[in-house]
Amino acid sequence: MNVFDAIRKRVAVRHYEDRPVEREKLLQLAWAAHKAPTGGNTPYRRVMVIDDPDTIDMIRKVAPGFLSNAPAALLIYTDLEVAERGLGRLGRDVCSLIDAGAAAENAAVAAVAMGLGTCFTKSYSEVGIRKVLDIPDTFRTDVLLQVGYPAKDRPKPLKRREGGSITYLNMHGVELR
Amino acid sequence: MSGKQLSQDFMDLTLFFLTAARGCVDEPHIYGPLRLVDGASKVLALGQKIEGERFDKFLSEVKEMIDREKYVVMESEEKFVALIDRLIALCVDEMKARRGRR
Repeated sequence: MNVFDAIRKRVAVRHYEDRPVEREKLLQLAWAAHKAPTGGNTPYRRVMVIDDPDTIDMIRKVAPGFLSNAPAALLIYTDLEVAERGLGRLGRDVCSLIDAGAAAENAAVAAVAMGLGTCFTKSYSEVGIRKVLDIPDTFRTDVLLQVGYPAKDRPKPLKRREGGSITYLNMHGVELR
Repeated sequence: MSGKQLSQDFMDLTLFFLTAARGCVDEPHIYGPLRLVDGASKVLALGQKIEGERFDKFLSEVKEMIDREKYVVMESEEKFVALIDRLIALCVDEMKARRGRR
């Protein structure tokens, strides 16, 4: 599958088959996430592969946005001390967040190429996730990616809202159609 | 169902409502209604778990409808509000029917 096909096919998947994802595939997703950029080549990004059923269940309890039956997840998070030391407040508050998004999208696109589905999740309790996963206060969780094999009989993807694909050419307001 | 299992289910429900409450502070306002609707489904799921096949058929259908249609919130706030109104209308009709009123 070429990269454009994978991008085109990536959608938020909220219904998964009732089977685990192979550890090896999850590690490939983590690799893809880590291939995303980090500002100033600062090593602040962390990726956690979560495939223990009990841990996934506990995450679900503190994440109202984890609506699916996904058997696994990837957590992209940031070492705030490393980010601030390397790039100051810009690194801590802006660049690391941008790069977390890039990492999550890398993993999401790679997942499509491997026959997997994902769903970005931010609706969770920061305190709850930290407690479940033993993450210290000097780290910030950025995005949780639900991962699994998409159910074959899942509902059709939702329609995109209007206004989400506006491209301008050379000047703001000059829309490319 | 054992007392221990029931306690665990109440623990799950409590965590859901508490984390949803915390989310309501920062998340888009429409997520609040979504959590409440999802919460209704979770309460009904607990009822199903406790009562098994004896559980109220109408309420099971309400739960099924919530679980099937709640994702529309990601597509259109208007459609989601319409879904809540349909659920309310259905439940009120049923309540009246059960009281012998129309």
